[in-house]
Amino acid sequence: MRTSLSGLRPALAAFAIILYLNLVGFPLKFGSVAIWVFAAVLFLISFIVSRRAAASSPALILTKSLIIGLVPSLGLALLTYIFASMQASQITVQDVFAQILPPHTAALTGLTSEQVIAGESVVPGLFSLVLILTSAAVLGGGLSLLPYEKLKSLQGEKTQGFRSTLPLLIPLLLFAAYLSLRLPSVELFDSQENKFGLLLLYVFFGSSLYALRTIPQGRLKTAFLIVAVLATIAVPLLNDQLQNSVLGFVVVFIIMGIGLNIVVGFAGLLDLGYVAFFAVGAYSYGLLSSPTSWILVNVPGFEGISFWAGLPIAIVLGLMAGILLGVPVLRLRGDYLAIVTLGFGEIIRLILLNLREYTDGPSGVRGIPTPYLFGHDLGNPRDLLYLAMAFAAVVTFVALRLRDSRIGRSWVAMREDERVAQAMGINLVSTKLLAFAFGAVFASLSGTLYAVRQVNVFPDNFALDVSINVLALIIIGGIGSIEGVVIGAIALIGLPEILRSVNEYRVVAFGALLVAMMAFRPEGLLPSLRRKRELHVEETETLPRRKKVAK
Amino acid sequence: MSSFNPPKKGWLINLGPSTYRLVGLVILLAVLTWRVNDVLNHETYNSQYWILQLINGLILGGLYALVAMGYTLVYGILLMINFAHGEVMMIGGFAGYFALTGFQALGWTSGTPLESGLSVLLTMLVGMLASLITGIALERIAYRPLRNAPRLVPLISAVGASFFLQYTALLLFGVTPHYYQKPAIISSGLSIGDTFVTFTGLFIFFSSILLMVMLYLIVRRSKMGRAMRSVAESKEVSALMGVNVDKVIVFTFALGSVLAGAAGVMLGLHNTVMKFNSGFFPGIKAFTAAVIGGIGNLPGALLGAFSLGLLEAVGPSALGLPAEYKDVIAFSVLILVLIFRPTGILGEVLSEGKA
Repeated sequence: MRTSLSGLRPALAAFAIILYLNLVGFPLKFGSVAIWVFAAVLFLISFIVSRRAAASSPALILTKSLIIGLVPSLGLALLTYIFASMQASQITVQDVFAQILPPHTAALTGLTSEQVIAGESVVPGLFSLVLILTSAAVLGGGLSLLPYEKLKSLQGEKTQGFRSTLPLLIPLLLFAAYLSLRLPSVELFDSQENKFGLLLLYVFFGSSLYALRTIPQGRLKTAFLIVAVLATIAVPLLNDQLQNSVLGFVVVFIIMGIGLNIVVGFAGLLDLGYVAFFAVGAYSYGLLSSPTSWILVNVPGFEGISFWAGLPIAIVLGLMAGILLGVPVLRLRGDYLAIVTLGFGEIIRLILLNLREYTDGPSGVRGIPTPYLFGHDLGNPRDLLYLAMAFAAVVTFVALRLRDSRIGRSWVAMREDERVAQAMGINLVSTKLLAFAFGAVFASLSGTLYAVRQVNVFPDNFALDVSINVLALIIIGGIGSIEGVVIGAIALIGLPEILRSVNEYRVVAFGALLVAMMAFRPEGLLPSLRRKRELHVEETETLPRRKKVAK
Repeated sequence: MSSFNPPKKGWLINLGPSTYRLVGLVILLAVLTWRVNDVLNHETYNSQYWILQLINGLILGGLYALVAMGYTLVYGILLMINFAHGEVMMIGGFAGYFALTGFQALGWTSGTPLESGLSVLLTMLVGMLASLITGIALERIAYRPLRNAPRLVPLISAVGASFFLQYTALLLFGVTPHYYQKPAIISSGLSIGDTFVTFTGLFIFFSSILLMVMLYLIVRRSKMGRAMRSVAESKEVSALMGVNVDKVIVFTFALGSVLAGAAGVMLGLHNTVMKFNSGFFPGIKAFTAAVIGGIGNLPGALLGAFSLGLLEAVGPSALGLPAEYKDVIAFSVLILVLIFRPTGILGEVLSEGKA
């Protein structure tokens, strides 16, 4: 009895997840696809729970997965029934839950909104809903009974040679698929092929990075590296405008991520106001070059400066901002630093917003000129992407060299133990300051690129969520590793650009990902090896858990 | 911070080796005096305005104090900024809004003084309950698995939880602001001389003081409070002495969350509006208040909160700046306090080796 009831806990957890997805409006957003999302959630939960209890009898596992299926689906059905009857009697549910509108109920019950409002019976629809969800859970439980261990060992013997080259083949195949989309004869999803192409590119970049990590050093790896780099260089030429524009955005975030990675990943200083330096970069170039800016209007004879003159100025100003903030606050304990930097980020935005005479307040800096190179206008998405990629390459190089230098090693030492680092002769304040300054410089650089790309920038572009986006990107990608930044930027900045419809779930998903990542995989998707080792040290000094002591 | 030569204890300013701090302070004070003098000489505002701002500051201070207690309790025990504490408050504010709307539908809010007063108290209780559940769930899901992780890890988890809760509220309740309808009993006010004090303000001020006294008694007099203080000193030794550390931590979160829930309802009554991001900045400022007072120090949090509330209410006008700069002032005060007196006004109460 007890063992079959132990299915109740995961069942309640599954119910909580489905209830959450339901209330935040999945059915409203995706229509009846939401049912299949719910089914997938139940399938996964049931599969994972049953796999963990693989030793118990099949009947028990099936009962458990039945409970996992029935509890959430009946709960959901009951709730939907209540909402439907409220909607039928003209009680507005959306006063409390904004997403519960008649189309929401309709999507779950297979009716139309008019039918829901007219009070048509939702019971048949709910019946099939319960049936689908429960069978998904039972299916998950059933599939967990298959002998996977045997399958795995069989596979391992037969396909040994194939498996070692597989990581190399996947990216190449993906790139070939991406190229084939360019053929005039290929027609996909009524002209959605640019998005599909981007998706292929993302997976190509991701799998290439993965392949580069898994393959041992050797000729094969070098060859693959060369091919991958050449392909990457060719990408902007092959892309259309939209694709280049999205990738340009991703690269700007990669540069920012590499900068923040130095501050958070290498030196272990949590900077939540990183957007401030981004804003400094964007505004300093913008104010010095935009024809509507206060400086150009009020200084007679000043025509504004070019991108190549503005970039160093922006970088120097970013550096100064970094040092100005860094000098007073870097003596502080790590947690205080997070709050102070957060405050600083907000101060910069508020000042940009309220210093109306100089910054035009909410109407922002408009008409920022594009860069020219040898008389050639770089203002189109393709050339801007090349520009950003070039800067990203430089920044990556600098970051890698820094990491392996004396400074980089002192950053890591300091992150691990300040006391010991100090005893080894590392000057804490100046080492921290260096990390902070490098971060600020990179952010300022990416801010300038961002300003050029956006043409118009507004104070609201530099709100707190940019800092959080960049933080989430480096943490999910793998803190302290450059590949991780690339993966993170693709996953968190690039993917939502394609999936515009899920944009409103973006921040929620980031938050949940951050929490989940910290609990299950604090080193991120593609961690630096050192970091991985650090986070998985057997913790010997921990407190004995109370429960164990009681036994 | 770690240092092998502990700096000498100064009376107000911990000067240490750097005299440039003193120079900075002198310049800063000179500029501030000049600005304030300028504003006072021009008599931009009359005395009534100042009194009104002072009262406003006290109300705000009471609010911040309630939230700051939660930060300071959790920081004292876990050495972690519960970044999502402001969101816990926001959830309480939303729950309070729905409760109040319910009482309004029942006709209680405009009914007899008893009904009206009861609706205020019950709204507050609903807000506290919602925050309590959120706070405990937060501890269980986002923080407990990370108890022994490096310090950056729970902090990042907390940032994630904060944004998760904030945008969940956006999705659940929509972008439109939810307007609190004040119950009849606190919707009016009374005039003392020339100044008008709202009953809402009085209610917020006195109930926050009452709640804080209760908190102080719990922490100082009860058995659980003693356990809390012992866990703050050392988890390991407390566990050896028979203290259930997990339970104490949950209790700490519960205490903080209940106060935050009350603060959320008060915030709703004070600003008459609740939005998905209503909790974030009050939360950050309450943390600022806790740091200003000296983190881990309950009376310090109270003092810090009232100083911050007053500074925020009076500061912009005293310096002749528009009111939009009140956030800038709050954060600048935080930075200044951390430079000149990193342990806060009353000093931190953290155990040896943790600070």
